[in-house]
Amino acid sequence: MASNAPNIVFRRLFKTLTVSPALASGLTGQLHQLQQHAHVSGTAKGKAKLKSGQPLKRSSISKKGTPSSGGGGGGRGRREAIERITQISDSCLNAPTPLRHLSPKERLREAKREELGLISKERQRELDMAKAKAKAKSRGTSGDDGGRVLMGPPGLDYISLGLVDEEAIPKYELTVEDGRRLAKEYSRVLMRQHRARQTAESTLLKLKKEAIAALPEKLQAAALVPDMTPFPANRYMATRHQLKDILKRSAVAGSAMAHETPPSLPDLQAQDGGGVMTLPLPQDAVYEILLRLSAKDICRLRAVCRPWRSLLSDPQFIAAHVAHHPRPPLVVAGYHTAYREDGVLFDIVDLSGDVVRRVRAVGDEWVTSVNLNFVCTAKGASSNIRLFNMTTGAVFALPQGLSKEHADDERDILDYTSVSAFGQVASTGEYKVLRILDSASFDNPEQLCEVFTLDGSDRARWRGKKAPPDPVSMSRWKSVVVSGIVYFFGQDSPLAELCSFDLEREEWRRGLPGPNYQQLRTNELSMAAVNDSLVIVHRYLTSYMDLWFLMDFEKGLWVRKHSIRAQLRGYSSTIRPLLVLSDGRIILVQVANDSGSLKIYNPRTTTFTDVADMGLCFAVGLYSGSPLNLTNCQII
Amino acid sequence: MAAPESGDGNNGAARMVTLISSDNTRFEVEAAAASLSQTLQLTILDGGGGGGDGIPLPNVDSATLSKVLEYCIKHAPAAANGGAPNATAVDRAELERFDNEFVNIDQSVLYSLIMAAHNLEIEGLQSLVAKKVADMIKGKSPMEIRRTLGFPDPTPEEQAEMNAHMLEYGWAYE
Repeated sequence: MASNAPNIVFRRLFKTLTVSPALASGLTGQLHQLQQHAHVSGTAKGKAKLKSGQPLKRSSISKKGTPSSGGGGGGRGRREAIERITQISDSCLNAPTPLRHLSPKERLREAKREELGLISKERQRELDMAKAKAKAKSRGTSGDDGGRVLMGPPGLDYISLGLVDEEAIPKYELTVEDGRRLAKEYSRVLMRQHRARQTAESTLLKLKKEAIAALPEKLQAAALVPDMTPFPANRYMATRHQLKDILKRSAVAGSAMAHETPPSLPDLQAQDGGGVMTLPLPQDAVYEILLRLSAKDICRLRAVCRPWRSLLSDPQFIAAHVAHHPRPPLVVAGYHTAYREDGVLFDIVDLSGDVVRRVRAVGDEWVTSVNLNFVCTAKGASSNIRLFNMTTGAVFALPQGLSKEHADDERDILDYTSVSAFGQVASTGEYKVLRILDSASFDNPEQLCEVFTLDGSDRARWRGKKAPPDPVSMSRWKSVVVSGIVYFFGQDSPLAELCSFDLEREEWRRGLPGPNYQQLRTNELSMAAVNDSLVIVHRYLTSYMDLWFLMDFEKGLWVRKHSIRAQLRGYSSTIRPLLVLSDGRIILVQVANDSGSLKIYNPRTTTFTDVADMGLCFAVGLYSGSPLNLTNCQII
Repeated sequence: MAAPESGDGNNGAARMVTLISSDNTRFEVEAAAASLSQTLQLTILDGGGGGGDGIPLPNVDSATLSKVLEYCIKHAPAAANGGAPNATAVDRAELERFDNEFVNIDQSVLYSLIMAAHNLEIEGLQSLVAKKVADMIKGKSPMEIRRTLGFPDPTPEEQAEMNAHMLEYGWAYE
């Protein structure tokens, strides 16, 4: 796809260079000359010799023989005779050599000068001689050849051979200016061509690099070894017979996958020659086999043939497969494309550290949150929100601009920074986005609160709501959505009370006191949603951590369910727990200033296991679906 | 075992039934063994298959049927015990060994076995052969699978698709 653009450029270039076929043969020589002088640098060689002050002469290639040397009339006086004799002797003394020797450089220069209409005497003489020769040669064949242009090599005149229509040859009258302009234009063309080729090459290189980067490490090493084999030896032209065979076979394979009726047995055995098994099996049997394979195997099997791919991508099959192979969810690591050279917006990683899906974005975009199998991003500005559905691959861009309620007093949305939260209302199943806009100015201290409902209609818009009772924190790890409630730390005193917004009723709830905060030496607090509970992560000393789970909102009951007692390097890093597995291990992401890593904490051994290095994460979350479910979408 | 005699003796403890393969070979087995097949079970409970008439199985040839019955006879006692809760570890290990040996067969035989297990609805055999095929597929590259299953060589287009898939789903190829 990416190679299309350079292609178009090339095509355009060719268009500008195309000449009518009649001219083509005659022009090639000229084009060649142009190519020689009009260097890519744009400075025509020999330009300096043209004096800028002089008026530019309009000169044309003279076609006729030498101008008559005057005289011839009048009496034959002695004086005249003497003059003639001196003339003759002069011309004899200063006679030009019939053959001039020119160095290639000089020849080139002369050719160029000639092209511009500047013909030296010597050259003129040479030309005349050539013309006279041609005239003498073709005298017998064509009567009128007075000012004819010669085309082609001597003896092979294109015009007389009828290859070129003489009428169609344009008559050029070139000034130096024209020549200069042409030179410049052509140099531009060349430059454009050059640039197009360069971009095409760099795109190719980039694509190749990306492709290699996407390979598993083992294959990467192999891919970096240049392939010097001249041609794939096993490639063959598909003959009609083979094509028929292939069609028949794929039809058989396809029917086995697509139809429930088991094909009749004798038929199959007739096909089953040489001990190889074709696979026209009843679908139940195929299902039975496929459900026993791991997601990894299934993913590979999709490449076997098209009928298999469609069967193995079928949502029903995937659902059945997931039921057979319960597995922990996948981890989504969201990035900021401006901080990554490869433009990756987010990675979906499994717990063995394999990147199962990598999605790139064009332009500056960053992930603000990951929730409910959606990735919430901001593109360009923090208030410009996009939602990416990891399962379907659909991207939904929320409208830009402030809500009607807030647009009244001419506020510009770009004056604000924004935090957004994406959640689902449990009772109705509706998805909603909440955003808090903060101008961070003293004139306008109030934060704006807006809600958007994703109801699938195009009438949906941001709706202004009451501002939060106390300003909420706008930092990255200080808000979270748990079952339809958005929780925020307060901006001023994070521990005093938590703010929360009910997405169903679309109103702020009363303040929620944090967990027993007298005891919390406030080294670092962050929020997380773990196993469908609001969790406050309290980090203290060098890296001890307590996970406080909110048990009862009404009573303000917090329970310290997990404590992590293991040293973590990186004092200033943020810990984002994601999931507590049934065996008590905790999956978490440690985000430092310039790196992020996925870890599993084992409470029995009180140790961390590093799973994967993920780079600087802007948001992390879980994807609960099967890796088979992930859409093919790679760029959003 | 492939005795083409028509048994009319349902005397004694074990009741016998006769199964007739597609090539008209008659097999006489214990009803308990044949009942592992869901398809046959009802017929047998109805009292069919005894005597001289037998149960015709037009979808299964004699070679396959003898293989299927080998499995049934081996597994019948364990199945009669209701999933063998009181079977000893030795018995289970013995059955496992038998199973492994049993499916260690040529692909064409395996294929007919899958079809037969499916038609006769023998649950244990179905999962046994499915497991065998899954093991054959497991860990193989798409190209190897194509060869295993006797697909033709991929067209350049298909090859390109396969390569693209590998690039896209690198994690699955490690």
